[in-house]
Amino acid sequence: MKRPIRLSMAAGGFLFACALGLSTACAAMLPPSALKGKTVLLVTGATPADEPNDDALVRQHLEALGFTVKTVDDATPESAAKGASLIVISSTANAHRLGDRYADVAIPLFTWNTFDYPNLGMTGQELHHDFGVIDPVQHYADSFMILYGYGANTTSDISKAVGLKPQLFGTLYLEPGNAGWGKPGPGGTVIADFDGRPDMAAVFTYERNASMLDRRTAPARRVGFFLANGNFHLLTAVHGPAASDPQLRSWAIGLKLFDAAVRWAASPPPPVAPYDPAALDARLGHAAHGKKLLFVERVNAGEGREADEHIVAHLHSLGFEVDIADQMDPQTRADGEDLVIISSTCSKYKLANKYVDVKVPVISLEGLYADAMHLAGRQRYVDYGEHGEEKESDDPPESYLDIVGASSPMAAGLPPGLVEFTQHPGVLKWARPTPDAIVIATLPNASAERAIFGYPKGSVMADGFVAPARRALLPLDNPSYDDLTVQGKALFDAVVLWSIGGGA
Amino acid sequence: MGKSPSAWTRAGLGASWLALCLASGASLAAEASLQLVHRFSIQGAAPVRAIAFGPGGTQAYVATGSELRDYDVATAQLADTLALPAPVADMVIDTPSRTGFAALAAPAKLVIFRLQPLKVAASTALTDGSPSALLFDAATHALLVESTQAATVTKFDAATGRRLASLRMQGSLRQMAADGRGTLYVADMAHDAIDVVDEAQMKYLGAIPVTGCKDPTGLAMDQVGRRLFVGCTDGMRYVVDTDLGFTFERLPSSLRGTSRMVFAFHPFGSAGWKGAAIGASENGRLALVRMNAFVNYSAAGDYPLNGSFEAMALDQDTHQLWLALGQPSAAEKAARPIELWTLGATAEVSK
Repeated sequence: MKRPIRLSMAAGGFLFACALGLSTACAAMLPPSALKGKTVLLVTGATPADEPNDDALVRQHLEALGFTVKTVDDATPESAAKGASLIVISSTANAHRLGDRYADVAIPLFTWNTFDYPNLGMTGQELHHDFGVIDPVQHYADSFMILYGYGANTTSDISKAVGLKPQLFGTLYLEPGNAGWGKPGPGGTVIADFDGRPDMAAVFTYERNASMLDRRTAPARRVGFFLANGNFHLLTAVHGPAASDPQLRSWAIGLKLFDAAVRWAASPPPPVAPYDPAALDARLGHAAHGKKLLFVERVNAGEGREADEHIVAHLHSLGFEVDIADQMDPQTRADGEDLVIISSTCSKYKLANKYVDVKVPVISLEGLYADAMHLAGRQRYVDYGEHGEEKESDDPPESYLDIVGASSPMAAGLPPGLVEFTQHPGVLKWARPTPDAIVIATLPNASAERAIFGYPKGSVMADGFVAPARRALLPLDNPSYDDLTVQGKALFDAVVLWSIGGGA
Repeated sequence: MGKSPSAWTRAGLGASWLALCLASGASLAAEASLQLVHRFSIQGAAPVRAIAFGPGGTQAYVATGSELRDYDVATAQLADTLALPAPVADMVIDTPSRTGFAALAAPAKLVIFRLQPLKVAASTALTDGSPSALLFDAATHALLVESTQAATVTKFDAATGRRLASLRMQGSLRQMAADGRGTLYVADMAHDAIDVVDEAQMKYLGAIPVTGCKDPTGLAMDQVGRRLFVGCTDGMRYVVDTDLGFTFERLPSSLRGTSRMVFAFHPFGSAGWKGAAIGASENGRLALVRMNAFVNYSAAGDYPLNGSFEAMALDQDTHQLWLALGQPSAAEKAARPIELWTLGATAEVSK
């Protein structure tokens, strides 16, 4: 492993200021004007003279964005990146020569060198399965497909900057050509994909400390982009009178997507409060003060009754004004509330789609509600499921979760990797959310089985359902609350805090 | 094919002269079936401002100085002359109506004339600046008069010569092109952009940037594919999708300085290229953009001319390209060479 290059003092100072709340720009992307003077290390390679190569155009474009660009070849040691704000790796660089040279560099990295994705830990190793390049010679029909991207995520900073919608858009100008795709790891965010398949991501990102592949975590922001050697100039854009048409503006966004992704990569990540359960409790108490919370349970339930009482007591102690609703109460019980938490003691059957469309945040403690709540797709044990339930799961009981989205406030400041969630192995539920979800934790060794995740307001959930307010899944089987570890309770608090608008 | 070379030979264009012309640099690549077959001179020191063809391509009309000259294409003989009250800035012909239009510089006038015999039908004063270019939009029957000096484009009724509307713009205006659906495009040197105008309303709709195209001057339109071909003073040719205002092709050439462009489908006949944008520039070069498909173009032919470029006309029916060239020395300026290039014969002939 290479020795990481540390962030510059200036960047460190910015993050410190963010952590103290001294800067208002912390949680957002830098404005375009703030890119001026930042240095980009552009890593390129040679191409035959008769083959297209847009590296010079890319360099010009980055300079036009305000960057100072230093171009190096693919044999240059990674020390050349020292002082750079962003590393950009072109597909013209030889991925085998590059190897994992920039994998551990703690500088944001933006790449369209698809074959280098696995070297960087951004995808798995298997060509055609974990990543691939479509070209008109080998895959003529597919080379038309890559002209069309789908907006997979609508709520990330990049998506919002572009106005990305859950619909088709034009990636490259009409001519069939080359494009790369990748299947990111559990902490990746798929911004846009080909064929509507998130496992064929056209644009994907990793926040700093997000889990990539093979237990690697991103040392700084990472972006994979679908370009190839000679088609930067074909990234779609609309100019002149046509630009007044909103449909065309939201169609021809290839270049805007590139620019927004570059700007996101070069922006400092939001500060992450360190793991400190007491401090988290205090923040949650501050945020909860005066807020009304509806706790929906099966009143007088058997198993889980005591745990429900303890959850309610905890929420009350934080300052929430807690109302308790029975599973059979009408949805109007949510009127006037600031948060709804649905206990796993409820019967999915009796709950009967209640609280799906309430305009306040909802936390489901029951993974098996995932389809009803549009947290995931409809197929039981495929789109959602459980570990450890006798006769219902092939998987043994579990007590650990794998933190894959450590940068989110929902992760409570816990580091990436395994965390003991409950004191004893038990039932843990999971679901497979859409790419619009912020994924915090998966089941161990089951990266597609997401245990803790949240949907921001306005995000596109399963079935195309648009989240009326924040939605979160936190898997707490009937009696599990009382079995939570300190870290597990911190995750509970962090999800509650995020759901009521605390944190980013 | 148009007229047989033998007719030109009978007109006094000796074979030795043609050989000299080709030896002087007009050797041609087989990639473009384009060859210089004849050259003749017209008398007068004034630059040729415009060339246009009459119906059927049998007559070529040349605007030079304050004259319009009618040449028989088959023989290159001067058939008729029309004296005008001022130097011609530009001239266009609407072949179906056998009507021509000439914009005169000073005093600024628009002259409507009939062909065969050449005869002034009407004239009207131009009040929106000294004219620099004319465009007849056959689809809208509008005549558009551009003034680079005043940065205006003025629309006239081609039938009556009545001034309909004028639009004052901001740029340094050069060649115009129309899409046949009511939109006018104007190369704008000042802003490295193509200005877009709604012809019906004579309203400025916006500008399509051609970033990286230094000082666009030449402009031609493929009205079917909705492509604009832009000639830049540094020799780059841009291909722009006008539906999106998106430049998707940038092709280098040896063209330098002010250029003009024309576009034609099947310029070499039905068996040849699908289309071509032909550009000629003041540094005496001729360069082609080959249309391979509506989304695919390539640079395919770049030739030296025997003088600086002054005017160009393409007759798509007969596949003839006429080029008027200026000469560098004062002695030579007494006669303006006109080169006739034919499109469609095998390139091997001229190798």
